[in-house]
Amino acid sequence: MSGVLNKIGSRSGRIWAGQARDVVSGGGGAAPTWDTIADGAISDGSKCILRADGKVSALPSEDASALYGEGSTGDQVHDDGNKPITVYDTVNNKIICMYTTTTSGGNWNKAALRHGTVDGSTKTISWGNETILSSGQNQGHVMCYDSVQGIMACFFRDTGTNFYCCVRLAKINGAGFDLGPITIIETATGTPLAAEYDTQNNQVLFVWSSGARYVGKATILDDAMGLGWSQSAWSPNLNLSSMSSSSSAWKPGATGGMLFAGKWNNYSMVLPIFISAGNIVQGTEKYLDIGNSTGTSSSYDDNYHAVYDPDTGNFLVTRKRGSAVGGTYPHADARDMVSTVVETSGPFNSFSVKATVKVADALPDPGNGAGYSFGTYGGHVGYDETANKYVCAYYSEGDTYKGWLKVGHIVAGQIVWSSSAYNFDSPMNLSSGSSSIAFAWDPDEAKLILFYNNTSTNNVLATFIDPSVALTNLTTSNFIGIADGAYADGTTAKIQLRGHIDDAQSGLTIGSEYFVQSDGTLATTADSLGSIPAGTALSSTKILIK
Amino acid sequence: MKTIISNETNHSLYMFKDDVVLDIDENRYEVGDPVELVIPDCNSTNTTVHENVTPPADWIGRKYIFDGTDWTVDTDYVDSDNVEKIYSSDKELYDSYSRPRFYPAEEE
Repeated sequence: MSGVLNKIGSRSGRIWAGQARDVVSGGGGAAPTWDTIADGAISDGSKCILRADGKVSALPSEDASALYGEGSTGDQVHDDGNKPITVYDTVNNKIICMYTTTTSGGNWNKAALRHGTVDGSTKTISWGNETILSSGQNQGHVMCYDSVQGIMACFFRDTGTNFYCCVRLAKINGAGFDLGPITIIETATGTPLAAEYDTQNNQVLFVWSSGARYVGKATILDDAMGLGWSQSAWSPNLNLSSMSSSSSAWKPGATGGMLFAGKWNNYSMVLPIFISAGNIVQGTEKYLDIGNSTGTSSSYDDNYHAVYDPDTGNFLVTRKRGSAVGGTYPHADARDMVSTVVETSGPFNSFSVKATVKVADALPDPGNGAGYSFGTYGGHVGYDETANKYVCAYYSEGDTYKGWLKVGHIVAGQIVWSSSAYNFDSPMNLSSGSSSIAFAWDPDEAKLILFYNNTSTNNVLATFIDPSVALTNLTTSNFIGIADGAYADGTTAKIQLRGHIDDAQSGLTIGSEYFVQSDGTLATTADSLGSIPAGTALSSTKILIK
Repeated sequence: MKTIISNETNHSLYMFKDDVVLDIDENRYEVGDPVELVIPDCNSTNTTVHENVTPPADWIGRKYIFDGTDWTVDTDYVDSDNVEKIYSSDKELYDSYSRPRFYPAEEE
């Protein structure tokens, strides 16, 4: 132990009484303080934890080193590409990445595909050969996976086919893929928006845009004639006007279907789409923001991404929030990254939504409704089926597009995000736009893998994410007290212990009980770690430490 | 060159080099040998192939109407249809290249 407990009433050397600046001890004397060595810089009023070596650290005290690995050339999918999307091939136990090349090899902006073998123990991926999918340049792509036959359905808008929306089937063969012919979805300028594979009906369910928004279904053939696309339904119009970005996720099973999320008619919405008795059924759309209505549009919402949670049977949808419900733009909450739990039960024709939860503030967030708020982008979310935790990856204009991670889990049906964010690729910037981040879950190696590209080198990188690790050194038992001053790393710090009154807080509500948060703040609700009481507020700046 | 024309509107939908094989039936077009492109919504009933045509220099699918002899710009066609915003970088992508006009695409 490097610290010294200050005995009440004693003032000798390093042993001295806590100064009863505000304490009226009722005859008990002053509450104790404790002198010990600071592990890292400590500010006045910092909430402090006791480390194993007897030193103290101020919160947030983070150790995210095991959360992620930096993307490197060893994890590189392609040295000159962008916009990765992924599926996991459970037939061949391979990770599949579809992306757009940039300038390499004469394949300028073409849609490409690559498969990789994941080694979970070394956290490496061995990549096969690149296979070009499009005849011209790719202007938007989605992909789904036929888990019965081990075939990828790769959709793209192809400049080589007059900007018409196309699909191409791919099946792993050696280091590359067997490809079917490019098949036109519709002879009209169009872009694919979503695609999912329905294992109940063994059909692909897909959405595309060609002026209006349409949904179709098709069967994937794999026979002596090769890979074939048999489209058995044509163009039911979803009647979604003013469509912007979108995303989808799939709930498997007899009561499953596609959750299609996006902004249409100027609102963030979710729509159930599924196949019943051989027919495509469009369920009832739902506002993502509780309380939203035709009178409170959510302009500028963008960057949607949806993921299915097999543990709860529900979905999580992330997005960049244009403005808070009922708020005007610009707005204090504008351009934040937010998330909404979307619940489904029984027949897949309607959803219910939980209250929207903020993932991350826009940086900087002026908070005064004036000026320009930098946007948060990306917002792709992955789910670790072993740790039962979500990871949201995003980036912000406010810190020059650095990549950040937040870890979340479900508590009483609602998403709770880590209070701290973790920078996952600090030296490099991510590209702007909604599609530079993707997650994949490898069920064989039980690994969550993040794919992303950066503008510095235009390469597509992969890195392993492990949300099961502790992200903070705070535990439910190591909060020791609040610093009574500012101290440099390695100097002796005085920590106010239980019973002391700290006067270096702000914004407290008199009489409220506060709990320590892992990011070093105080809140009237417990941190997701558990209940860690800090004390009771005596004024807006003073707290009686418990 | 050879073009596929919509029987309903006379729009020129596709353009191919003369030596590209077109296999047409009542259900679809199959293009190339081996097949490189399948067009399920065009068939021998709703389209007609015209061969030995000379397309306008700025030909692109659905921009021109062809009556078997003359090419006429469809005044309802808007070039900007091809740059509808899906991703913010699409416009930049579109602005940065010359659109290929024929299938199979010329190598850059």
